[in-house]
Amino acid sequence: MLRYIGPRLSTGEIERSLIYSGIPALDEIDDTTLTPEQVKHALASGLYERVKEPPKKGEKE
Amino acid sequence: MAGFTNVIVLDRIEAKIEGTRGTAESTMTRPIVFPHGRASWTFEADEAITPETLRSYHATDADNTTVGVSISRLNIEFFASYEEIIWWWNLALKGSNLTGTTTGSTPAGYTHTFTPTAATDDLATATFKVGDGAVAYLLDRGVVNTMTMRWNPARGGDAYWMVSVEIFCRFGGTTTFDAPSAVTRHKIAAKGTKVYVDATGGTIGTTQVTGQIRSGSITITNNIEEKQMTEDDSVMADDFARGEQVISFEIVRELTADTEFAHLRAGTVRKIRISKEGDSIGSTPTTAYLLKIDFPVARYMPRLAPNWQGQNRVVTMAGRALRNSSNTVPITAVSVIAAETVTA
Repeated sequence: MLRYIGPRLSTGEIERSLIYSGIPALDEIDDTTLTPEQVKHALASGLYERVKEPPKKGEKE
Repeated sequence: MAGFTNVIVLDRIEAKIEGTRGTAESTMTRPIVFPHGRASWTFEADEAITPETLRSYHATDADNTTVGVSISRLNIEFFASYEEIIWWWNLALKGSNLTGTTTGSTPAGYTHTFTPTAATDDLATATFKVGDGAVAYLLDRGVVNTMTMRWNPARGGDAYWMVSVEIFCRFGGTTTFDAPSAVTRHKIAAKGTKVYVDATGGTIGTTQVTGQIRSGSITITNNIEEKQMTEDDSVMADDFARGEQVISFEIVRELTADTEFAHLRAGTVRKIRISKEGDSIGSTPTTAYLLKIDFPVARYMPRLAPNWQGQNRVVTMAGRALRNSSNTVPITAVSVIAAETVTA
């Protein structure tokens, strides 16, 4: 999971995105929907950080 | 000397404002977004193919034929957004102006005001990478020579404010594109644009003209002169000269009475405001996205008589924005957005 940590407008809206690299402008992106190159690019841009997926119900941490 | 010209239609442009004017930036920070086919790069250079004494009926290639110093022009037409217009005004009106002032609202709106500097040249320049999926070219020291902003919400017009810019720049060879992140854009709808016209003694923005304005445009011309020094080998000098900054406008207006046309005939100075409010940003105080352009000293010229278009007297009221003793500059341009700073 990737979480947006880049700048935001005062309204909370995402200010910068990577839509031209095919990466959706979302607060959280399921990185399994991205190619490894896109994940690398998203992290290198400094706009996203990797976060652990919240554990699913009934699953042990 | 014979010249040659290439015009390349572009499908990708990236840019960054130069930290030092005339020094190319290496990594671009923003994509320039434009409708397909509305951007082109013109490359011109003289080539010294001159027939010399008649050893042959044909010019010869052998004696050190040389290509002259090149001139590059970048023409882009795009839909204006409240955010991007601030970046472009840094190139066309006043540089080092990427930070706004809070309106105090919650969430915060930020007012970005452009009052051109009267006697110091502080226009920003930008580096551009242009091309397509296969090749990228570097253009540096891009300075806006002309910028036209127009609104025409009529059927067959444009849904949004359109901007066309002509940029004087220098070709710096081939390069590779970067991957700058996209900027949030709130496009400026053409419909809902308001025009206010007041007398010189009044307050600008008081009297809105209703039921008469069809469309209009505002043009900033910086009269840039590029310099070619004798030591320059491939492109023009990194420095350039600026002439008079000419601010002109055209308002297509239906004259329902003789009043404004009488002002045009008499050459009366008018105060003109053009504004367009967008979506709400915050409250206390009420703040919304806003484009506002003020001409405190506007004169109609040339003085055209109205023509009859169908049943209506429609006339293009063209004019110049000037300065006077109480208004030191001819134009003030404002954009209110939800971000304090705009990426260079």
